[in-house]
Amino acid sequence: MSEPFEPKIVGFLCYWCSYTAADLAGVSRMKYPPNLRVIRVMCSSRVDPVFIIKALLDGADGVLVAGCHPGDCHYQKGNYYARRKVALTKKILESLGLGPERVKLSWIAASEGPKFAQVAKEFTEEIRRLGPNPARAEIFL
Amino acid sequence: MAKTAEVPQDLESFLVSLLDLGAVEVLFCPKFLSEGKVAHALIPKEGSRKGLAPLFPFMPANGGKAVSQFTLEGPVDRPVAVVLRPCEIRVLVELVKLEQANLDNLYIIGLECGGVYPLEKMTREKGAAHLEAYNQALKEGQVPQGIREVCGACDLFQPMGADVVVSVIGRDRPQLAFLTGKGLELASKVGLETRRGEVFTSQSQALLKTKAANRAQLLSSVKERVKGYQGLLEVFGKCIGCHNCSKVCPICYCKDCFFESATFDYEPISYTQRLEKKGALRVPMDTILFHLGRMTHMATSCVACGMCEDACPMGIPVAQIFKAVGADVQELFEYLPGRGLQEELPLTTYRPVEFTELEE
Repeated sequence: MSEPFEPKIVGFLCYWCSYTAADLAGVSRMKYPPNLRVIRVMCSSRVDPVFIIKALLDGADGVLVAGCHPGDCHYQKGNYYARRKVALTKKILESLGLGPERVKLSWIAASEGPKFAQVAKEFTEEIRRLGPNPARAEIFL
Repeated sequence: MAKTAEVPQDLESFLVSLLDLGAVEVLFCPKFLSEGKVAHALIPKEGSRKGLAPLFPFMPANGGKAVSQFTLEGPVDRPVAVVLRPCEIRVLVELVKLEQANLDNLYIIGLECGGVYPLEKMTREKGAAHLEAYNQALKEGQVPQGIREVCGACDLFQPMGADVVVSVIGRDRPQLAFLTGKGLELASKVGLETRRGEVFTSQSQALLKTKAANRAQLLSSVKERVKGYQGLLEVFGKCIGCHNCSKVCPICYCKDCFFESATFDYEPISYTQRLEKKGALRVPMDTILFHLGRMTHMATSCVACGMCEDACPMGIPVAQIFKAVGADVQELFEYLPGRGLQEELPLTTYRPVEFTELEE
């Protein structure tokens, strides 16, 4: 008997905004699904497209990249570069038919605890709808 | 319309005249090593001009990468004429943007390109054996049989960014077109009389359409083949991890490749933990990640020259796949590698408002 599908999602959150928002959601005791595994990065632009692809090839069902809103980056313009990197990654995945919808970019400010909880909830639902990442079953990836 | 002139005798003699009449001091051009085998060479004024092979349809290395080797540390100190195919010029422009090459003192002689044969045909067979059929096809404005797959589907065979363009398709004898001040300077130094004329023949323009159709067909068939994780494994699964594709890639310039770094040396626990999730594990890991990762590094600048595919010992259609993925990402960023120095590399620039469909 197989267990019901519980998505595993890797979340790269920027230190200055989105990670703080996740913290805020926590201390505010907001409820959101536990499917998101958070990795803190100093800036969303630190997320090399290779990180995203590695997570997917290793079987992650979804990857979330979240950072400060455009114009609010702690490093002035890191999130603009992050947006291009995510756009590139999604396009490569689309080109090869590898499910670009499993990668999501979100802007979540430090004060937006409720938005973080909302994004975590919606993305988890979205991935639950998509089902398990087919890469999970491939041993030669 | 541009200032044009037929080559006096043949292209080789025009190149030699550039040296003899002092228009340049050095020539960079493919040269015969032995019968039917070519390599790029730098040839000084007083050097041996025997066996120049500018139009010999083989690419032993991407010429743009070769030029970057002698301009990486700074510009050359004397005028050098470099004979390059269109994708080689585009590579050179990309390498300048990547701070790996310098265009100062270079005079770019761009060849209109009928494509090149896979290198295997040079090493295993007599390269010259294909020459007659090749030249005939070019004269008639056809795609020669047996050239690299990506060449057959290349619709950028008319060079961009050259000072002098050598038009060969649909002609008995090559025609030179002098498109820039530097190009005209060469014409006057070798005393060529120019007249106004079209740079390319009507056969060449017609071939453009044929090849654009070939390109569209290649891209869709490749994408059909490499589709999903199954398709990916089908095609890249047999990769032996030699990384030849990246070694010969003119855009992959890093001396210390990320994918050969200690980043990919894992603790034993990384393997055993993975085994708890999966029934088995491919070792070495990250074979497929290498290819996808390399795509994220260079697909925006890929000119689809085809070197990677020639270098693959496993017959993986690397260049075709990179051409297909490259086409998509280049369209995404409205970027054409090698079109001009003023176009910034997609990942080193941004617009404050763009890709809004990604955001939440």
